[in-house]
Amino acid sequence: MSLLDVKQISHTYKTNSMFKPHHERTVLNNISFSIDEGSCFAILGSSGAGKSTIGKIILGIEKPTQGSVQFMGHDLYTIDKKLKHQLRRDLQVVFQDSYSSVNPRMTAEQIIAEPLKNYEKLSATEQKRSIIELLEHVGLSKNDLMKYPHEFSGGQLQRINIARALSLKPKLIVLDEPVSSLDMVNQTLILELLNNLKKELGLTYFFITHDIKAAHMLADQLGILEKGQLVEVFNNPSEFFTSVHPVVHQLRSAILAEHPSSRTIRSNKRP
Amino acid sequence: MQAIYVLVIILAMLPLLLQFRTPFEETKTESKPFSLKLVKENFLSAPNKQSLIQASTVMLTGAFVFGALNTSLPLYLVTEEIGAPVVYLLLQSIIVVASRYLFRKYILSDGKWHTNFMLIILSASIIGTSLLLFVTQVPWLLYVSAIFNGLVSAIVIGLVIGTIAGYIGGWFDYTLMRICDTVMAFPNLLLVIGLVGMSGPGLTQVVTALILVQWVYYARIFRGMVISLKAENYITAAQISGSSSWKIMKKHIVPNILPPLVVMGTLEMGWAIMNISSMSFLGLGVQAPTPEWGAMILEGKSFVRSNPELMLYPGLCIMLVVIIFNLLGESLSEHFGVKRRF
Amino acid sequence: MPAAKPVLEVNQLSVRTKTKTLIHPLEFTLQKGEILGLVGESGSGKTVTSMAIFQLLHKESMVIDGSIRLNGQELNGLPEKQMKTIRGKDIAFIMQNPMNAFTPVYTIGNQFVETIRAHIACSKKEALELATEALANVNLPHPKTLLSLYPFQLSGGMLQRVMIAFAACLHPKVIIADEPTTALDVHNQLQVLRHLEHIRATYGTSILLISHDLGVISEMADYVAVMQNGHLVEQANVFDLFDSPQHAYTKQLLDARPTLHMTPSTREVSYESS
Repeated sequence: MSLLDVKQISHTYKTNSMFKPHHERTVLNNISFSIDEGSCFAILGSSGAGKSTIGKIILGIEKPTQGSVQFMGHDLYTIDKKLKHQLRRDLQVVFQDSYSSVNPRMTAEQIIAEPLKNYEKLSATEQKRSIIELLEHVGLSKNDLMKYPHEFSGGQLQRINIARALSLKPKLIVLDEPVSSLDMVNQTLILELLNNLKKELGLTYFFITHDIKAAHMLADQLGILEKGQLVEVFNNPSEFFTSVHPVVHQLRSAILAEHPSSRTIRSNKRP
Repeated sequence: MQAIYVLVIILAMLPLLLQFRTPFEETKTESKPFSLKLVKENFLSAPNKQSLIQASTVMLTGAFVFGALNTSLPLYLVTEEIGAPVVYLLLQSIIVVASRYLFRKYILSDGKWHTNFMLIILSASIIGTSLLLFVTQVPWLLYVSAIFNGLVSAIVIGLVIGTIAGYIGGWFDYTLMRICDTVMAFPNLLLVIGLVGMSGPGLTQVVTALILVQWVYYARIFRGMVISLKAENYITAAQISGSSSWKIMKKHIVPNILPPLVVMGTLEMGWAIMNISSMSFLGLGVQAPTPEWGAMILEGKSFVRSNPELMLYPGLCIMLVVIIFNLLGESLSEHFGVKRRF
Repeated sequence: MPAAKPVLEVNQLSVRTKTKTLIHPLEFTLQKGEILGLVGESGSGKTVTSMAIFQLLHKESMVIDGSIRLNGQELNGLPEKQMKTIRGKDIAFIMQNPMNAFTPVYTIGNQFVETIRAHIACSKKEALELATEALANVNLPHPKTLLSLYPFQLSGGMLQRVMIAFAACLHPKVIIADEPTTALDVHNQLQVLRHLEHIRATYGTSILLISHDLGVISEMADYVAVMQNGHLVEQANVFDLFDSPQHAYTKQLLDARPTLHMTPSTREVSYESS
């Protein structure tokens, strides 16, 4: 049995306005896939394709218009509150914008402590020790405990978000474009961190991104989302480069050159 | 009455107890010899708005101290010389300039006061004057304290109700907003007059009426802030961390609303003082011969042709205190980076 | 580099505040029709440099030393009145986030016309025609309809292309593009870059392309300048930079890229009409 089973999810937004006719917008259309424990399922799609919506649906915070989400054998949207609260600790998230994901008035320690306080009954010293361990695990140190979000860079803050997500030792982490707002150097560093953590702790990821290179680094399975539909699912990510599907073809051609000699917009001849 | 002093002292001590998170060692210590140039640089330099905090804080302190030292001083100003207010203001300016120099150690490199220091000054001045008044039993500050406490109560009630309404939403929100609409449909001064008329005149009655009428405005404002705050990612992150609604409201929503609250409090204080004075002027609040400016204006009304200064000076005093609170509020809003939406 | 007179010449440019030096003295030149890529992490000073060239830094708190010459004319210290005529007409700016670049309460056409009429004396009708032409020139579909829309009705990618059309319509000598593709997805990224190249090829505009994405630099730049902590650490021809980086930081940047090792055959390009 797979860890996460998404069955025929469709999601429509309705606008209820007094002045305009009722308008429906289908964001997701009949999406189905499943994720096994310990693997990373990457969803690749352009903006507006519905990536963030599917992330929220999987997290259990937005009920889909149709379809079901089975997490660890339970249907997320039909179970009672108590069970959902219990399952919640195994389903965590890292959002795209590191700054808006943290309360600007809380120190790093308080931010990471929040999930721990909700689920574990640790003494103050035990809690602090766990937090320091987590910080070191993500590449920060105990000197960062008392710092506020504005004292960190985007990359460091994202590490704190990852530490918070890891604090309850969850089974599945939804990564919603975790590196898209960082610069190139930090992107690679954070992706490497995520990869190492996955191998070390046996985590399962649902990785939402628009960057094929990032997806390639982490993914065991690759899904292509276009206009709300899952047009292709590759069980081997390298199939992405040989697929003849028109959407995939388009995505491939949009990848920028890695060296000027293979560039296409301008002349690739040396002057 | 003593209880009000105690309440004010306790409230003023809170910033002291909560604020020691950045140690003083971090401030830059400069010891330059005294020179007029230095004074000019410090007092007139940008960001000059910061000096308003000090100016208003010190002025308030001075006003309270002056009021405390001599109950009859306001009366003296009113009945005797024109020059006295001028001297008063001059003294205040000297205190401001001097403090900016004397305490230059606590000014950070970008011209701002070290937050802790500022709060300490504010707290110390409030505590000091309250203690002084407590000892001397002078009633003048009583009224300002009472007004202050009334305002704080109204804001707190508005905060609690507005936050719950904004966060929970649904029928609770809907019902509450209809109640607010109903109360707001009446001009608030009229409503206060009506309530005081029913209960009889007196300071307690006026302040109670103030609380009952004002909380709806604050509830509306806070509800709006909470709704826009709800959309922030960290609220979702907190929900995913398993925090209950109460916990989120307590730890995430309210602390982020506090800076606008503080700013609003200081600005609304001016309004509250004017309201109370208006009530006293109408004879519904404090009764003569207790030294309250509104009541003084009422008395002076009969002599407006022969001694117009009897009405003018209390009016000027009210204006002065209101301006000071406004300055304080504006500079606090600059300091906290709060945009004024109210 | 040919011995022709450079369009933009920056010499010993430095920017300091009272407490910090934001940019240490640096220099570079931009020839006609050339693209200079400015690379660096966030906080390296890229945006401050472009703001300095544009003379949009806060003069009271920042000291800008050095010379910035546009076709021989010195820009540093130029009175604001004259600088206003140069901005938009001789040098144009493209921002990172197209959503924030437009006023939400006016239509695109309205803002376009306002910009044009600020620099050229012409009637509203003439300005509108110019705007329509500018949009059509870069293959944006239905220019007339586009102009009547409000910014929120367009996607980020479209807005960015409109902004580029804005920037280019008065045929400026230099366009400074500050991270023009960072907020966009891969499709739009490619469109925007092609758009910039089209402008460069048609009007001979020089472009200062600021980006932290080495892919963008790789595709577009003739020359590259690398910035780190306010210092310009390396400057070279793009091929030389990628093949044999000299400075340790450049090497670090190049090594940090995730690569797919794609050969030209796996990168098939389909030319779309819009």
